[in-house]
Amino acid sequence: MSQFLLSSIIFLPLFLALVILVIPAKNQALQRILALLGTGWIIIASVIIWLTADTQAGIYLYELAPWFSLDLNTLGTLKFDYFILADGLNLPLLLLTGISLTAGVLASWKVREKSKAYFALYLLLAASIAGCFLSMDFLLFFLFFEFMLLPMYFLIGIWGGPRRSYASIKFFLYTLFGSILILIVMVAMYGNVVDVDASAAKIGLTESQTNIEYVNKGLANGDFEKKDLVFANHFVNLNTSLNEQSTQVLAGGLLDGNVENRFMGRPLRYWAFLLLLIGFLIKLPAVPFHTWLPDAHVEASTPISIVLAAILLKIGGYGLFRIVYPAFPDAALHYAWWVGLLGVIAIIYGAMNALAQKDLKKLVAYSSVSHMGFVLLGLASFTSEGLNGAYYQLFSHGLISAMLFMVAGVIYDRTHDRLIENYAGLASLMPKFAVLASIAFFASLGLPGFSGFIAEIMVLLGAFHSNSVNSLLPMWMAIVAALGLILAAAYCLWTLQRMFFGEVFLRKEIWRLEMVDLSRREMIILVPLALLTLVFGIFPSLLLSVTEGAIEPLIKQVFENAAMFNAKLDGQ
Amino acid sequence: MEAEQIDILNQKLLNILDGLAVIVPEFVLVIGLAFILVADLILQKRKSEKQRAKLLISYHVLTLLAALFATSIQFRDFAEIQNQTFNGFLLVSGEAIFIRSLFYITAIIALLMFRRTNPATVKLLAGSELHIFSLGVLIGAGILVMSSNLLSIFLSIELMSISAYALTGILKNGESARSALRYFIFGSVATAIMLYGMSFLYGFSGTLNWQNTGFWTGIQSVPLYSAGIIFLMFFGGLFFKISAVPFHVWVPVVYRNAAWPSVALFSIVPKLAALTALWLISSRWISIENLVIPMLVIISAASMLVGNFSALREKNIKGLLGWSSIAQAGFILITLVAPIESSRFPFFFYSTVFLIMNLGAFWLVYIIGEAEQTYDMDKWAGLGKKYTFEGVLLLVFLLSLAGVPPFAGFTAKLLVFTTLFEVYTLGGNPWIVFIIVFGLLNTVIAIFFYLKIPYMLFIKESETETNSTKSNGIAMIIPSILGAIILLLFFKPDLLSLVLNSFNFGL
Repeated sequence: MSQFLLSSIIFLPLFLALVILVIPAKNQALQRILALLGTGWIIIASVIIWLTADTQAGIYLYELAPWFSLDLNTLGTLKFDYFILADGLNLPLLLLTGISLTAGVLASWKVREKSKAYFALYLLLAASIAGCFLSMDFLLFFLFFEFMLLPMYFLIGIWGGPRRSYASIKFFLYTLFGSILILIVMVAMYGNVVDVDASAAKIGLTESQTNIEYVNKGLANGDFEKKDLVFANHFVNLNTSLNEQSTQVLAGGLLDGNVENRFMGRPLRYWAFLLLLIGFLIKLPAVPFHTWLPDAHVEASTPISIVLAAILLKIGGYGLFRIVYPAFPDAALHYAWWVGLLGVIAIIYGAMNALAQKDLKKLVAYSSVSHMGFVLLGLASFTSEGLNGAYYQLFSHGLISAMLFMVAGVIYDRTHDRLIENYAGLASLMPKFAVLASIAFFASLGLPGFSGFIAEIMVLLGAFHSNSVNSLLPMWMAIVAALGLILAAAYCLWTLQRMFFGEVFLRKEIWRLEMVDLSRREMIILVPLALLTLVFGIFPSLLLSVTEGAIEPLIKQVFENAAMFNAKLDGQ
Repeated sequence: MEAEQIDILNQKLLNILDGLAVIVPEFVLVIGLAFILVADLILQKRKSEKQRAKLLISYHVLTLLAALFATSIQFRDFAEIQNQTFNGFLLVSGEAIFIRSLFYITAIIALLMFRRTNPATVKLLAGSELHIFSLGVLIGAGILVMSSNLLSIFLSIELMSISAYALTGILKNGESARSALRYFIFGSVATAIMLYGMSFLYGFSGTLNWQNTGFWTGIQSVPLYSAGIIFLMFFGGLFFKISAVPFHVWVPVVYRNAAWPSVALFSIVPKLAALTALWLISSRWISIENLVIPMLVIISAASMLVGNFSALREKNIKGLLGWSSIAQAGFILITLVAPIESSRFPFFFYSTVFLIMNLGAFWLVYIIGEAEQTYDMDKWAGLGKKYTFEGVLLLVFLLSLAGVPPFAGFTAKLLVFTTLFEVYTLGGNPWIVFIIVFGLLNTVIAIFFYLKIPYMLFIKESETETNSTKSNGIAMIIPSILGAIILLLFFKPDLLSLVLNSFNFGL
């Protein structure tokens, strides 16, 4: 059973999407239930893995099967595998995937127009997001990463608002551009990670010779040639620790940190890092690559906004943790100041923009940009608190942004209008809604007790410590980022006050009839999300205990590399 | 003395006789061509137009199947066939046999693409011209991929071109005649330029056979830039068939105005034939590599750029596919930068996939376009409701052309760029890095116009209410199969490598 548990997370939604395509279009209730089943399964499966996992072990579950391999003649053989794995780094985000996608299905309960295509595409999206988090083979990851765009394009383009065609193509082009940058690096990486076992089998090495040192030595001595080697790009083998242990990296190549291949005056590794970084920053999104996000959010329907903000953006952050930092720690160190700066700019710029917005959804969209800035700042700090906080922020923001977009959706459902100025005093009309909306906004501004607080405080701690521990980030960055918290409080509280408190005011009188309190369905979406932000705000160790196993080694490795590089730099 | 000469002559004749096995498929095509000519004369009086069209199509398909069978026999008996034959005019390689069998399959699909619901189309199919010129294209393409002599290259290019000019004008209306004339003029100029380049090459090397080492060493005495111009002129004829920039000017006009299934034939087959010929030549050009690589990089970059940017403004769907084929040609062309052992698989993988996805896209565009009587993109708005399955399948082909996973077009691009990067790490040629980055960034531009068609079909609402879905039944079988192959080759690309490696002989 547990053997195919991981695969079922990807393939059950895929299968259900096919089922939806086959059953008659009139049977709309069944379509919804199937969609709920597919996304609900992601939650159930990830909870099962979470509960049964041995958190001490690095890897909880994995499945590895050969996919295909290509013989490039003199250039060696490329091997691509179906390799999916659950560990501390992707399991929380997998759970978040399930939660936000399920919330999305519930939020799209009333979709009637072309519902067959809608739910089929939705499940396709669900499968590709889950696949993206689980994949450990670079090509497999890229497949899901890019395939995700397609259902999203149609979900925004067909069921979106008035300017949906513009927003959907902008979303597609921006993220495709990002993934092309990732593809360039992937192409460059492929011939650099040796599948030692497969190569040894091909050359006919003994067991004691089956290690990367022997392969590299043999290659240098001419015992065998590159065409005898088999290459496979698994993330677990990517770690370019410079002590040459536990890695499968070809000596002298792009991933070998000891060698400086220069291209246009800069080490090739730096170029690769920058390309990957920009690729994932577009997805995250960070200023100045963020402009697709407000458009996409405003035009997308509520459930799609939830999915987009809660989980799609997180893939950008996850990519930094999974690929960019392990593969290029030296470059990450070199550019830490710039990454931190981007983070600070995103925090302040996003928050300032949020303050100025009149459209509730746009406000939430810019607040996302601001919150994602914390992820960058935490990563750039290269401290334990910073990295853990950055990861915590990914998870926490997933929950909070899902709530906020649902809040916007509740209002939009009733009046088809989202302008903040058109509403006041909603609390007396919709008391339950007001409570939940308040929780959402409080969580977003980082009130202690909510998950956002833990995340942001850890990031800020990391940023402050960085100055004394490794002097990567100057003190002012942490101080300015802390200002972001104040701005967040400003736009959250101001919005809350304008919309929910004071005397009742609605732009059009007929809206008064529409403004009924939350339905049961809406409660089912909002209440669990609110509870979860509280739970993870009060018991951070719930999440940290799981992520520790994955992030600590990463930090250790990055630290080690950092130390070695510092020594190297000092020596020069 | 005389006896000696007779002996030489005798040997030459024997060589030709030995080589006859090589061109059996071409023989079959010629026999089929003659048969169709005669049959047309006989049938003209007896049968109705519809029956004639049916009969001629079946003769045509039978001819192609026979040719396909002949190539399959060649696969089996390949070991017994000499490498160079016809006194050095033809060169036999497994790759040539493979690509020729692909040509015949393409021709069959292109022929079946014609929908006989329109009386004008029936009339076209009932005449022998279309069949004859289609076979002419195939004969030329078959010889081109085997040419080891400049003269046979010239001969086969001319054969293909003349057939293609005639096919363009075959609709006999003003537009198609004008396009044919334009095509003819461009083609003649390109051929003239090629001949000029060839005469230089002969002058400097004293041989017309590019397999001779003398052919390549002779040119080294020429200053670098002059040699570049000479080779550009020589390759110009091939680039014209490949429709690479700046020899692409004929493409959009011809695509828009010729009979669409014929366009499928005479755009895909000669393009791949010329590319294969160039690929074969690339096995020997190592001595002038620092000349050829920049040339290829510039031409393919220009093809991508011009193809993609022009497609952005194109309103006609036929024209759009024309520009797309220019850009795609650029992608296949850069594979040749790699040494031949490394470029074999990416080249043939891309070529095969290109052929499949183009045929699929052509087929579906034709089905919708003929049913709606328009290829104007704006008029396709909202048609996705009416043609849901067709539209989704078309989306598959277009995304594959754009190079998005999970379709084989992505694998093809991935293979090309991975190979190129490995070549770069071995040699460190900065041109290669440039084209990798440039080519990949171009796919972002490409996706914009490839998505335009699905955008029109599914996202844009139509102003007029569309009537209910109409099933195209049997006509959807072949594109469905092609679509399945596109998916299959993404998930199992090594299937094709098995096929290709099973006859890994050749050069």
